[in-house]
Amino acid sequence: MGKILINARKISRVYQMPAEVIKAVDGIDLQIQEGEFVSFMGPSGSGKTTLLDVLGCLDRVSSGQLEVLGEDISTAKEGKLARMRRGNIGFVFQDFLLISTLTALENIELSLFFCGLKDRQKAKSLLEKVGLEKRFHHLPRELSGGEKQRVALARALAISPKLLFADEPTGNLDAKNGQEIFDIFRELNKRGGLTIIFSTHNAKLGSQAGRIVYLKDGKSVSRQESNLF
Amino acid sequence: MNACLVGWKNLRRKKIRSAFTVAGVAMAVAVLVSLLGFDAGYQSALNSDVDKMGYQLLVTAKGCPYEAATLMLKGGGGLRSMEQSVYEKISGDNRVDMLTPQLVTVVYDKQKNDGQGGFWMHMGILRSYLELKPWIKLDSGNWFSSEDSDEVITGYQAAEARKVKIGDETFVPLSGAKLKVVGIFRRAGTEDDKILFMPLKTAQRIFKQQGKLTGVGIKLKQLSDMVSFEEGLYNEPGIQVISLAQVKGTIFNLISSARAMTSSVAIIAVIIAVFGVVNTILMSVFERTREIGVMKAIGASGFDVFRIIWTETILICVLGGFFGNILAVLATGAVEFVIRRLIPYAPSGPLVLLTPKILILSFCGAVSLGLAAGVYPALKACAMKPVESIRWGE
Repeated sequence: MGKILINARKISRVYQMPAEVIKAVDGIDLQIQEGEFVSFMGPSGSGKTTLLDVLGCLDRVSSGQLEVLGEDISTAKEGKLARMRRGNIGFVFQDFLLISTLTALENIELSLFFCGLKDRQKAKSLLEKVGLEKRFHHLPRELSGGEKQRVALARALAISPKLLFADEPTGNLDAKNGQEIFDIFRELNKRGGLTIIFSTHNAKLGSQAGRIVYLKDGKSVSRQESNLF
Repeated sequence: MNACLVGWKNLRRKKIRSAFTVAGVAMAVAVLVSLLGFDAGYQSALNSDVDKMGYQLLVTAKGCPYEAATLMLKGGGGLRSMEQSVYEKISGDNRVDMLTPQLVTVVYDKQKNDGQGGFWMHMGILRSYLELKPWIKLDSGNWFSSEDSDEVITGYQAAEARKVKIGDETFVPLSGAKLKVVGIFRRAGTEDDKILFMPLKTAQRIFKQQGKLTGVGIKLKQLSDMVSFEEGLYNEPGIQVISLAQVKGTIFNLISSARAMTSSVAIIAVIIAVFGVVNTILMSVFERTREIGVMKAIGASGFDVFRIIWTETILICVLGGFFGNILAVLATGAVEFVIRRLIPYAPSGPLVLLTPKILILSFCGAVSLGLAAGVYPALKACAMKPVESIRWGE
């Protein structure tokens, strides 16, 4: 049995709105071990993104206990969450979210810079690894959707993370590019042993994960209860 | 990769907006530099003018002391006259090192300035005038042949303007007198360059001022005697003693209202520039909310974000400071031209003196303003929560 990287006990994330209280994540218990390849599946509004945010230390839980990489971050403030993210956690977003004024290479170097590293060679080799050796000096607007997501993936991998979170990473890509990106994820997990947690609407891709967590109304449910298939 | 590169690339994202913000800072810095340059230049030029009068005290007929001193400095009509016996009395005082009597008369010449008309300043002097002003030398010709000869020595500019050379005869307008040019002084860089000098007695005769003087310039042996010397002459009828140190202070007071106004304009310009910078950076932060969220998601600390935004502000102010200094240097001539027409008395030397100290000080001031102006936008960016920023606008 692998080392437990994430241990969530009855975690909730509640948003207090003027007219109502929204429970985006509602009492979820979850353990994720080193080397796992986990997909969160569920309809829109089921809490996939919010769960990724709190597990990835981008957001705090409202209640419950959450340990990430052995650190209890249930009540951690932004400073501690930032330290947890730095050098430990990589993110890939549906909208790619590259820095538009920086080239592909610089986007990766920026990630290294925030971790106090200067390693242009590593940035280049990561871009080569995702098949973008001819796109080093291209700005995001000069890249296709698939290429942008590859840059975003290379950026996430630059810091050699222990955990990789991906929120609908193929959501803005066509089937071919989506499958290619997913294949890279699978390769990273199988060969590199990288722990990957991603959310998807795509049943075909989601089912290729090692473990599927079905979500509905912020709760973890069984496959049958999710009404997805 | 560094914060400077990220900041620079972001400023280039909205080139026009960034350029306008830099221009705003540059204008403010240019105004500030010009103002400081004017302060330094005016003081230096006035000091030089007063020092080149060669004496510390001026005795004139009673009247407005500062008007008299300004007329002596700048030239102009309306000087009152006093009895020459005052000069003889003062010359017997053993505290006096040197002194020189003067009779200044200003005559209108309708032929001057290519027929546009203008004034010529004539001064009757003794040889002691040159002893008090040793830097005034003859460029050509000789000193007057006698104490009441019909001869004239012209200042350098006066000779050029009247197109005269040694041996020529020149008329004194209105008086009908004809004087022979016997000498031309070297350029002194003072009002002396514009004056027509003649023997004191000749001036008194031509201008019908026998036994009269408009002033006596005095240099004391010891500056510490100045107060007691002034007090000694205080009760003399019909005369007044003007200390040129006081004149300097008074002329400064005369232009202090203009300085206060330009200082206010400079301060307002700087404040507007600072608000411009804050506004630009705040807009930039607002527009980049998602990018700032992403930076935090990929490992940036609050300090990293603060540093990037702060660097952008500093870059704007560094560029503004740099171009502001260049603008101020290039515009010196125009600023001097305008100031000369605005202030009541403008000394002969350069009015705007841009020293390296002023340029460095203004540049550092601009950078300091950048440091201050960047704090608020940088803190705003630093305080952004990553998850809210990333989902912003969705």
